[in-house]
Amino acid sequence: MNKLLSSQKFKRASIQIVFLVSLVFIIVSLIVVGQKNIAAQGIATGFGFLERTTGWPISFSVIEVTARSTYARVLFAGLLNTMLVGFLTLFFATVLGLILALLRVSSNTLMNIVGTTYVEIFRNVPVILQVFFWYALLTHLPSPKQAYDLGGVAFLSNRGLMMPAPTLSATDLWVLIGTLTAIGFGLFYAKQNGGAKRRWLIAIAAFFAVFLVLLLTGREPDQSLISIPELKGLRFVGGITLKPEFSALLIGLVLFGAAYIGEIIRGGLLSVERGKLEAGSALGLSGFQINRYVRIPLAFRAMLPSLANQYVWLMKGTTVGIAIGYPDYFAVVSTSINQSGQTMELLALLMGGFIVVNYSLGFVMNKINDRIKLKGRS
Amino acid sequence: MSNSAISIKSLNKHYGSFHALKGIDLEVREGETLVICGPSGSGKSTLVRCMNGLESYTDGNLEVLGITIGDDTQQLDRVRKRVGMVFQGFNLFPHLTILENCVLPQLRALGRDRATSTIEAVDQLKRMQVYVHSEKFPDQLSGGQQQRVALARALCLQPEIMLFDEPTSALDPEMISEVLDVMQDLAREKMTIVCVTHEMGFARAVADRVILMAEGRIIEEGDPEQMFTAPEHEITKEFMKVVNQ
Amino acid sequence: MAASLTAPAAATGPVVWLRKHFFSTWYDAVFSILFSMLIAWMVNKLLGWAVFDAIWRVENRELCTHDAGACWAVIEDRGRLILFGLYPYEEQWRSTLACLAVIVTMVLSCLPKFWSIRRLPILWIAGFGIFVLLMRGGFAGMPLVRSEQWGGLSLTIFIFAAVFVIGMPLAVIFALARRSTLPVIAKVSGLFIDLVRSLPLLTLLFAAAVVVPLLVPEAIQGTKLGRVVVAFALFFAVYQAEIIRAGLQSTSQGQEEAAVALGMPYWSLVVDILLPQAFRNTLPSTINQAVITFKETSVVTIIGFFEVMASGNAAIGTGEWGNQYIEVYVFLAFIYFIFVFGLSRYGAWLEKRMRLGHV
Repeated sequence: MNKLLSSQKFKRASIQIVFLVSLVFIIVSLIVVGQKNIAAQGIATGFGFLERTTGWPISFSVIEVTARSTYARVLFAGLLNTMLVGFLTLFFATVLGLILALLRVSSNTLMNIVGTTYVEIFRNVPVILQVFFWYALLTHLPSPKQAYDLGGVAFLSNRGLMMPAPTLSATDLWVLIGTLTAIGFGLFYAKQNGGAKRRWLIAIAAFFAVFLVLLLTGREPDQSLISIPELKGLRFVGGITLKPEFSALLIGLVLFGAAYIGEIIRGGLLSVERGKLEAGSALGLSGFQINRYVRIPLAFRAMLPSLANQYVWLMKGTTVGIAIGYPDYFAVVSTSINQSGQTMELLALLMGGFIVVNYSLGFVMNKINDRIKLKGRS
Repeated sequence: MSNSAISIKSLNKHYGSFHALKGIDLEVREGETLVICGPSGSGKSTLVRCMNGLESYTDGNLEVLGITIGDDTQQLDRVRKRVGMVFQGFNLFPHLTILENCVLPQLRALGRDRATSTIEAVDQLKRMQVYVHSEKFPDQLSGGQQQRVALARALCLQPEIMLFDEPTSALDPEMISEVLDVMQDLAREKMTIVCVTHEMGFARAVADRVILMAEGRIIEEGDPEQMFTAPEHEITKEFMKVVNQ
Repeated sequence: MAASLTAPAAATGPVVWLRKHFFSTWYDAVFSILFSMLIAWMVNKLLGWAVFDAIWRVENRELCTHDAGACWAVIEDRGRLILFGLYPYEEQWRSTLACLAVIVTMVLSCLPKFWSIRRLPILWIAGFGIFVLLMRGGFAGMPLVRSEQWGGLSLTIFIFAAVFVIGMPLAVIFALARRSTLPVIAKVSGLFIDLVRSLPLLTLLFAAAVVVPLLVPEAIQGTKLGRVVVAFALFFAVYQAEIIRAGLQSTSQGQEEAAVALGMPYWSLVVDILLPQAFRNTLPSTINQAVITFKETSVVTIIGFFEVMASGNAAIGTGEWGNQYIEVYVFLAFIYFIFVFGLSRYGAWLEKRMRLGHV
């Protein structure tokens, strides 16, 4: 018996078995207790509630959502809101981050100081505080009656930024998306003929042609091309409104994210060995050419993993939107839990949603990484 | 008739589908110095590492100091406290001083108290002529000094057998002799030694027996003079030609 | 023989330095001139608002109009609310001392003297213990103040310290589990770590606050604060586990073999050999993680805890100080900035020294 106890195989097997059994036991007991508690509250389990109407509106959505929409639709709207703010943040933060990185690596000391000051300030203050700040600022703007008038076509007030927008019906939008996808596929298959520049020119021309056609045809006779916001009573009607919840979240995330992305880009630029830049110089390349053909491609490869990490992090960061009332996925789910009591199912949907978004982002970044990485002996 | 310190019968080891050790039969007597040589990939290191359980084996019989090496962790534990090992890469603990490198294993493996352990450590470091560096850290020492510290550390546990896995292969040429010298002293004091090495001069001077391994098998064994001047097997002849260049 | 050339004139001196750093190309020069004017104007405006035209004392609060400078009087009036939350007024000295205890612990952790596997945990448990005892009271003449009343900056510090103290040991366990040679444990812990890392912190805290009471019998539910702190610690632990794992991997495998060959038990291998090196090697990343955690404590305001963000918002409120949101937010930013900037500067300094091989 003693011999068995000290046998390495036995020890290893028994530890793992005990571990698995305890894990299963814990999970099962959680499920059992959970089901008991939920049943006691009279709430049905299962995802059937998704087809019920919510009975409450949300303040912002890309698709049409009312108090009579189903839970499924409302949750989807929340997910779209998260992705809207998320992808816009990624885009603008990268652009600003690039500028910051260039400022910080330039030989002009004043540029360095400006860049460094920005990064130190915006990195060392929590993002939620920054978002609160911008929200407070935007909601302390004057009311619509005393809104700032920007050229007569746009207005800034505490209800948001009202801008003119083309009136497109829902079908217009879908046709547009369909055409874009078709053009995308066309580009992909025409890769062999015509060369890059020509392809892009054709694509852009086609896009505009389709857009113009859509705009001019299929329009009600008295509906104008562009809708301009107009003050009617206490509010604005028409045009498109950028609500302060959305803007504050976007501004806060972009400024915060740019500080981090700027540092990552800077790290990438600095990681390019000087020897390679000097080689470019020795080969007679101009400063601009060295940047375009040597420094930036190599820097890009070096910074991609960190950049991917930061993108995932920023996507998750959109959840602070709930603090100022932006109905992102998390906000919508938590309201749903409050209203419907379907805690477990909604929590699963919440975590599932984020896991899917994160893994997709990670997957895309990995694919890009694999395609561009330096091939060598690994 | 001296006892067998290490007794190996029909030992086989597989790494997945790769057959690393093929039916090894070997007896190492108490007090004997055995040198194992051969081309790389022949399984010499693997064989030595089986002797203190760092590598497992697929089948066969392996007994060290009368204890069977196998699945039993308690027995493995007992064996490791009586068998010392010196590695090619020294493997000193970089965050501890030289003295602490030698004291800590005694505290943890043997449960000795700190006072006794320190006295023993000082003795062994002096024996290896590295005592003057006691308060330094490993990366402040040369390779040869580090290896001698590694030997002192192993000797602090008063092992009955010492295993050496290519102890000088990572050293710059001028430091090889300082390590081989202390190993020779050990051999003269009749410690049971199994040493994998390419240093033929050492083998000639000190070994009681030399074994040549190739492709997982023992090709030839005999006393050093005979192996070097009149090898019998083809492979041995080839190897000696290359080594003696 | 060719005529010898004289070496070019030495490129030093203040004019040359200015030229190189500010005016090296024409667009550099334009930028430098434009921006220095812009910065000078901004700094002038800022100083005017924040310092010279500012109103500092509460008695003068009628002067706090739209056109005046910063109304820092709000800090004097609501400062205690921001720092201590709803902690009873007479006992706020305890809150101050408690926060100081944690700050001292953090400073001491930066001294190499305390970097041993025994001293550091003892230091943190002592510091954190003193904090909790002082805040809670209930002995030696100090009236009891329950955790529901802890608030403001002291609650932020509590959450940070608790997450650290609970999360670090967890991180070590997770890292070792993921490295385990037992395949079941390694895979399960790997899955767990990757899963938790892909979730936003807020969802975990929310789940802990709202969902866990449903799943777990009354007896072990604990307080909402306790649950949220544990969830936060878990989140910290999985990130820190990856850092420690990287540190463990950088210690060479040979050392493990040497320890095994010397007959040293597994726990000694981990505690005496691997962990000390892993921690030393990853100290800058660990400090970075601590900095991020301190900033992330602000997120618990969404769960409904009255930490410094919430107390700041309460200080602004809708009442008399409704328009002084900028002053309060700047004050909050300043508080965070001191902690975060200080800690990250230390981390950068440490990293530099370690790279040069001095630590």
